[in-house]
Parts: sequence; C-alpha cells; structure tokens
Amino acid sequence: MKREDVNDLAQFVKLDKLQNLYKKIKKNHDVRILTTPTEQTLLVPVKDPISGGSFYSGEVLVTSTIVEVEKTKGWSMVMDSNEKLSLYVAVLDACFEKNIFKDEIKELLKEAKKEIMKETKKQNQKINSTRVSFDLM
Amino acid sequence: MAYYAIKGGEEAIKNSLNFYNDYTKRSEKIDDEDLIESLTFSIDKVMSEGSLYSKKLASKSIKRSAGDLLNASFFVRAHRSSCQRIGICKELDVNDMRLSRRISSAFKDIEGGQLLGASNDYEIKLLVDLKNEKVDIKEYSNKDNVIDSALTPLRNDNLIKILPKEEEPWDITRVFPTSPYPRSSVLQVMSRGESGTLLGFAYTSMRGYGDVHPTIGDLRIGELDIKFTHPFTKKEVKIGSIEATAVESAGTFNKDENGDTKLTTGFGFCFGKNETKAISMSIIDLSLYNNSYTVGTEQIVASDFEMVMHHVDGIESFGFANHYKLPHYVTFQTDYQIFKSAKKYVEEQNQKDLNGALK
Repeated sequence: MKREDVNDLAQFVKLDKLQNLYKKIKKNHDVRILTTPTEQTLLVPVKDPISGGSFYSGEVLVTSTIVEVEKTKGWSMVMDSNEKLSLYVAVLDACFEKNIFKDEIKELLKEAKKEIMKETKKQNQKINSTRVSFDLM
Repeated sequence: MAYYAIKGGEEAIKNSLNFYNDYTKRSEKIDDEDLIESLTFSIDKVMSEGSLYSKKLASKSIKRSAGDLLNASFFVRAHRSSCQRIGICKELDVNDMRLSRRISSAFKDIEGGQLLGASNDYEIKLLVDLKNEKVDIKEYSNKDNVIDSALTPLRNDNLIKILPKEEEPWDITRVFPTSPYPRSSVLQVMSRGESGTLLGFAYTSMRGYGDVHPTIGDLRIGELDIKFTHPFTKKEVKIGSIEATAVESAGTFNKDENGDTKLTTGFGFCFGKNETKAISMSIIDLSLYNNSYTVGTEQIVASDFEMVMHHVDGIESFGFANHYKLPHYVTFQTDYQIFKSAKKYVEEQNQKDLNGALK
C-alpha cells in the first residue's frame, strides 16, 4: 500500500472509525491545521473522440485540507462537501508518511478495500446479468 | 427594453418568503441520503445542468426548491461560482469508463457485448404494480466491464470523419467566445445545457428542419475516476469517481476536409445518468458539423452555431424568462402612453379631416 492510496481508500472508511483514530493521533501527537477544510472545484476535461482534443464538461466539488503532524505535511482532497472527512484523511496522509499509527491506518484501508471489492463484485453481477444479444427476426 | 429599480414592499416580500418557506418546508424533512438514492435521475439532471458534480448540493437544492429542478440547478450553479477553482483534473476518456450500461443500435454483435444495465426501456408504461421476478445474481460474472466504444474499430480503420484538434480547450466560464466558435466551447455549452432544450433542438433536426436520423453507435453509462496531483509527493492521486453518460451517434456519409467520404459521428457527454441529454447533444453535434440541408431550408436551428451557443443554457434562459415577472412598470407605462398619445393624435387628425370635408 502506498501513500497515494490513502486519499481514495480512506473515503470509504466509516466516519466514526476515522474520527476515533484522529482523536487518538491528536492525543499523542502535535496536529496542526494549516488550511482548514475548504470547498473547491476541479474542472473536468473530457476527451472528444471526434477531434482528439478535449472540452470541459463541468466541475467537481471537492473538499481539501492541509495539516501538519509532527512537522510532516498531509493533504487530502475528498469528493463533495465533506469537511470532517477531509480533515481526517489529511491527518492520515501525514501520519502514513511519518509512520505514525501506520499499521492501524493500513488495516483500516485494507478493510475498506475489501468492502469496496465485495460491493463492486455484487454490482458487477447485477450488471452482467443484463448482458443481451438480440436475435434478428 | 428596460426596467427600473423599485423600492418599498419589504414587509410583503418578507411575508411572501415566509409563506413560501411554510409552503415548501416539508421537503426539508427528506433525508439527503434518501433523496440521493431514490430520485437519482433528478440529482443527476441538477448536477449536469448546474455544471457541478455534487450529490449533496444537488439534494439540498432540490429540497430548497421543492422539486423545481431548473431552480435547483440554479442553486447549484450559483454555489459553483462561490467556490475557488483549485485546478483541472486529469482528462477523462469515456473508453476508461467502468460500465454499468452499454448498448449499440448500430451493431448487433460488438466486442464486449451489450449491457442493458438498470433500464426501463422495455417496461410497459402502465402505472400498475409489476412483480419483480427473483433472479439468482450469483450465477453471473463479477468482472468489471471496461470496453472501448463500439465505433473504435471503425475509427482505427480511418472510416470515421475527424474534425481538427484544438491545442487547448476553451473555457466558457472564464471568457465566452465569439464566432467562429471553438469546438470545445460548443461541446462545453451543450454538456451543461438544459436537457429539454437540447432535446427540442435535436428533435427539430429529426422532424421538419434537418436530416439527422442517427443510429446510436455507442451509448454508455458508468463511472470515471477523478485524478489530481498530490501537492507534496507530486504523484497522481485518485480523488473519487463520477457517474457519466456518453453517446457516439452515427449519421450519414459525408466528405471530410480532404474530400474523402467518411462516416459522420456526433458526441454527447454529460454528468450523471441522462441518456436523453447525451443522445440529443450527439445529434446536435452531428447537425452542426455535418449539415447537408436535404430537408428544410438552410435556416436549420440545430445546424446554427449562434442558435445553439446562446439558447441551450437552462439557467440563463430560465433567468431571462423569469425576470419579466419583476416590475417593469416604467417600460410598460411608457409604451402605453405612446400608444394612447398616438391614438389621440389619429383621432384628432381624423376629426380635422372630417371637419375639412364638411366645410
């Protein structure tokens, strides 16, 4: 598991679990919020198959935070308006880099990944059950 | 046309707002998660037309406007303009989509097959309770479906007409271009356009004012990953994923810029699940870039760049149409006074003429 996996996978961990870990980290380490959770947008370019160029289809709302844990910076950018989630993920990002509660973080992310895969497989079975090949009359 | 500022009426306005809040406040009781899960197509329409992918805000907006989706899109668009834009995510390619639905009406057998997905296309449109037959889902494959567009083989064989590539996409939210409009700006306008308006424009080209009767080469709904650069590691990070709809429709055969006859195609893309919008966009795209005027006249709405660029945005047209509700007393009274004076003048002239004739 790499640091780059934290931002995505942590968004699937239940918020109360993230909150518990955040409290534990905060109790034992110096956590500073450098940029409070802020709603921002990302412009979304889409490839145009006809010209090979691209165009902007709209924007995605994200919430970003920058923190510092024991002088190591952490960052998060989570989907939608999610202040608490963004803060917790940023702290996890810094802790992962600084090797603080790294095993616990990894365990949470592994659980989340397992759950995502389980749900995806179930969803795929539903999708694949609609595979069709019409017969010509 | 002009209207004047008004003053006064504060108490009535306050009471009217209170009345409106009383009238609509029951919608606030709906849980956001419930609304997102249940009215999924409404959420998607609002995000797409509001041009901001946020299910939470779309839900809040639908509740705030008590289900008026155009008004809800307005809330979302307004919120968008209040947020800082942090950057541009990695370009999305619809061929990377994890598909939940993928059909083609042009090809019966396509690589990867056709997936009906969650659709009511073949439902009997009667408001009666239909029994859901139990299916053992476990017997089906659990593999992802990431499949290239059904038109990719034709494109690889150089059978599809291509259009000139722009170096950088235009962004209409910063500067609205003037004619001739860059293709990227045209696609951006349509991608955030109002579904009904796009449908209406597309319909004109199929019905009486155009000759586009396309076949859907590839219609897909699925998830696309949003990726951005981590500011400290400088490596790519997945932010999350969005649902989107993409359509490539095939038109007739037309000459390209080298004089070679190629298959013409149109592209449609929008946030969320909205097939009607994506199909309509692809038809207008076909009509704009491949007009041949065999039906109707050269004044074809769906082939007119000015018409499309300035009239398909729901928020703008909604705002303009609704501003007529606001006091225009001076405008109208001026017109009315001119009308009355002119009428009086004509009557006096007529009387003078009559008096002259009697002398």
